[in-house]
Amino acid sequence: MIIFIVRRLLQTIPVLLGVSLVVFLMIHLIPGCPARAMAGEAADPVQIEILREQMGLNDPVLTQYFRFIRRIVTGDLGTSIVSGRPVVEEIFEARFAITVHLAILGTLAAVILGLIVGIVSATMKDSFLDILLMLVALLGLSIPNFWLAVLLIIEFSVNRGLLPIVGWGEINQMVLPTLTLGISGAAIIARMTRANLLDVLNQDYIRTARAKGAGERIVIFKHALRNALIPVITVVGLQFGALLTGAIITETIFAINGMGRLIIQSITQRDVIMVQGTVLVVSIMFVAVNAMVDIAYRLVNKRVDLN
Amino acid sequence: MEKDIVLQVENLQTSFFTEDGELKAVNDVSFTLEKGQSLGIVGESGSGKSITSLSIMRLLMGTTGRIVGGKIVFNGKDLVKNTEKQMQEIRGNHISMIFQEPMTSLNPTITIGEQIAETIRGHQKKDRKAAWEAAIKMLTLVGIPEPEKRAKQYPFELSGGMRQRVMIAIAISCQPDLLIADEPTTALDVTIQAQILSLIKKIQRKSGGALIMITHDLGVIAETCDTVAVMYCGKIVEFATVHELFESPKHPYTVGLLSSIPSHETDSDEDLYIIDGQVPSPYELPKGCMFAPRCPHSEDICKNELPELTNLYGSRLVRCHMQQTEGREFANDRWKSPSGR
Amino acid sequence: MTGGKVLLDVKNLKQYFPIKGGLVGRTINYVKAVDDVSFTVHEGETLSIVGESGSGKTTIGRSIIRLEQANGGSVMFDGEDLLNLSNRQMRKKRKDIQIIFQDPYASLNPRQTVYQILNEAMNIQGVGNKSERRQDILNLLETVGLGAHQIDLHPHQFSGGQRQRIGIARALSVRPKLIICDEAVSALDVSIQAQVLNLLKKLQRKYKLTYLFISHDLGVVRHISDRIIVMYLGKIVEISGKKDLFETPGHPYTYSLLSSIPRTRPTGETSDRIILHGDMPSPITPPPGCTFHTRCPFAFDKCSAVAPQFYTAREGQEVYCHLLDKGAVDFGEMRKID
Repeated sequence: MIIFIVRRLLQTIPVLLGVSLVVFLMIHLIPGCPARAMAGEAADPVQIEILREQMGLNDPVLTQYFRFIRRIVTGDLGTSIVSGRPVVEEIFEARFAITVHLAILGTLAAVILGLIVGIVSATMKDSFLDILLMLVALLGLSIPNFWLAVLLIIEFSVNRGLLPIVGWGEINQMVLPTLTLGISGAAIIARMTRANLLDVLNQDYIRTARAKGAGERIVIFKHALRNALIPVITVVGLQFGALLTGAIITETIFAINGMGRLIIQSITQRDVIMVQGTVLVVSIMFVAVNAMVDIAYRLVNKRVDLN
Repeated sequence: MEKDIVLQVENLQTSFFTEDGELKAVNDVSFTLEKGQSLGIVGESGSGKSITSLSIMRLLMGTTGRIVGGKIVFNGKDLVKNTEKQMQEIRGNHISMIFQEPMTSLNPTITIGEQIAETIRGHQKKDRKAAWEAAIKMLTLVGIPEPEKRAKQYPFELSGGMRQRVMIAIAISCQPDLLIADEPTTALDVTIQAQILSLIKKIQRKSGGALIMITHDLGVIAETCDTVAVMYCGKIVEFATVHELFESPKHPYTVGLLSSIPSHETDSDEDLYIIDGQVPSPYELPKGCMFAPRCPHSEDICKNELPELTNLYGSRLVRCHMQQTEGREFANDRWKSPSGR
Repeated sequence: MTGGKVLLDVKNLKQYFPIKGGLVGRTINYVKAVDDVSFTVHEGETLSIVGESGSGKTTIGRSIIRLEQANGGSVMFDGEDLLNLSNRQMRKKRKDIQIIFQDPYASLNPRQTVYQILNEAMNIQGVGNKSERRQDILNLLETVGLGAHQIDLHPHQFSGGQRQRIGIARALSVRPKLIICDEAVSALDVSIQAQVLNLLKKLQRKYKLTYLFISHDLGVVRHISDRIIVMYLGKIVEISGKKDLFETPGHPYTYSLLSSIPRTRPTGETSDRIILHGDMPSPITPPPGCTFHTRCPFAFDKCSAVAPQFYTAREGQEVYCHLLDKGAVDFGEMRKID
């Protein structure tokens, strides 16, 4: 098991190197030079050339890459062209925490809603309720987030005036963004839970549990669910990872100052260093969450013994 | 005598309702089982032997199958009329079952100790600790070395034979009156099969409970049973004591079955006896005797009229027109009586 | 029976499967599925390989026909070492060596009709004349007991026993010399199994076929074989003529294997039976010395130290067991003395 964890962590190294390379090359591949962006529209070529020299943009690409790696290893992601503040500060001061908060709430909502719907649907297979719930889940899966968010705002904020339209911090501000993210996630989880649970309920060991005289509640919650949820863990983990990278659309609609909105803002402002930093942080998070999901899956699913 | 009867199955009928129509898996099956007795039910795939046992346990949920007629009287009470709640009280407590696939019949995510202890807690007033200790005692009883250590392991850490021992431990943990073993050794190697069969026999002798052994292997029947029911197409075609059955099989199907098994005890360069054709589709069962299309002795009556299961003598029952009219001896020269060996 | 010419000569065959592990997934150990196995098959005979799961019996068949790449040894067939042939040469050789598997359904292409299946097999090996192909195939179907009206049906339209007949017809279609039957009747109900066994025997007489018959069912093996190899944990423990093997088994494992089979009649007399304890050890770390010594009721000091050589118990009965140092052994008697 420890070997597996170490190996899984080692596997992230080439991925991270690849990510760093792509992020590094971004600056060289996108049109426009960062020095020019920094110096402003009115800057003359000499100023730009000086800036280029200062930023090391005239060195060989390989040298620049190694310098870049050395910097990020020491936690220096550069300085924002627009605000002039270190990128690390910009990200970790508040925005990162907000995104993590939103991701956790959204995932939690998705899991709770998805599990309830999935279990009810599976245990009442082919009933009217099952068909209805699965139709709703299909809808939840098909509706794009931006439309769902707008619908929620119209109903709960505009028509009923129950909840605020924008912002983050107060509990009532968190409800709509959480729901927006939760509903689409719940739809996937519900459908997967239902399918897996139905599959597991046909397994021989479920028949054994019933042959022992176990009641349906024990059969489902103790014997079936545990096995049915193992594949669901992966999906939940991937969803969480995706949300951590910033729910760009949701954050933008609700004007939440998280990572997603930071990326959008930086792009529109051509703050290349900022984009570079955020994309790097977000990618590292995603890779890390994925590794953790794999390890968790292995811990739960003891059958997959590593030999 | 009367109170010694543990199980009395009367005219049991179980059908599956599929897109292609009604599939009569168990079609009018009756037998009785006394305390301490072991009954073998033997038949090929599709004979309805396994569905008979699942019907007794009322474990057909999740399938399209249901009991459509007959009675299953267990300790004086008809199980067919029981509610699911009453059945849960009986399953694992008064009637237990061992299944064919030890690899998939245990829950992969629960320790084997807990899988046994859970059964004990479900039926007896024992706390967690007492139930765990009882589970370890059960593991010892079924011959698992280092039971304390094994109890904490998961099924994947055990071999097939060990897992089947765990299944047996679960089944006998509440000292049931009736143990049903459905092909308990089919998935196991022959040396492990010998271990498991001898364990089942030992436990039954000790507990004095009744046993139903369901198998396609007549050798397993010969080893473990007192009486045998031979099933074909959902019906019992012959019922006899083990010795009677092997000494003088009466139904042409039984004769064919016995003589088509290649023996490991005798040499023969002759061809094996062959039952022509194949089992009819359950959706298009013959009108008369189910075996008539394949039977070398069939006559017009066999094709048109279903024979009754008739008492020949003692407890001996045969479902064959030819036996009812003449009492013929079908045993062919390939199946010689044991005295002739 | 052993008088015929040697058709297949297997010498020191080794088939190890690597186990990957560690941080970088290098090979940390091997499963020794077949470990130094030698035997010969004579023309026209049926040689059976018996053993329990994990004994390596199935792997031998797969190694011979090069479905696995053996790690060592030689397989001489018709004067050529099959293990040294190129893939192209081996494909040609498969005309002479065919294999029939346990699960006939999995080995037949579900989209092809019986005609297409057989036609393809014959085309690949260039057997027969294309203009007479349909007639050849009809004859073949008749030989294996299928009707002419079934020639254009697909595999799913047949029962298990009939599918195995199609598998046999496909093997026969290229007129092979040797057919490897890998648990070929194990999945069939007894009444159907008897039909297929009789068919195999009939075909052998008709076409002078040689069978390498791999099975775990000793009843079937006694019925069909001339000689029998008993395997345990990747090694041969006994090679013997059928009669000797069943009446006077030379190896304690053979004896206990035989006594484990349920009697074909109720007798009640089981005092001479040996029920082995425990499970077969892992083929990754086989016990030292004789691999059977951990479960052998007669093992003594030497057994855990030295791997036994073969002894000739009787003419044509080779046994790998130290007990044979003292001549042939009657285990039933030894059992009673215990």
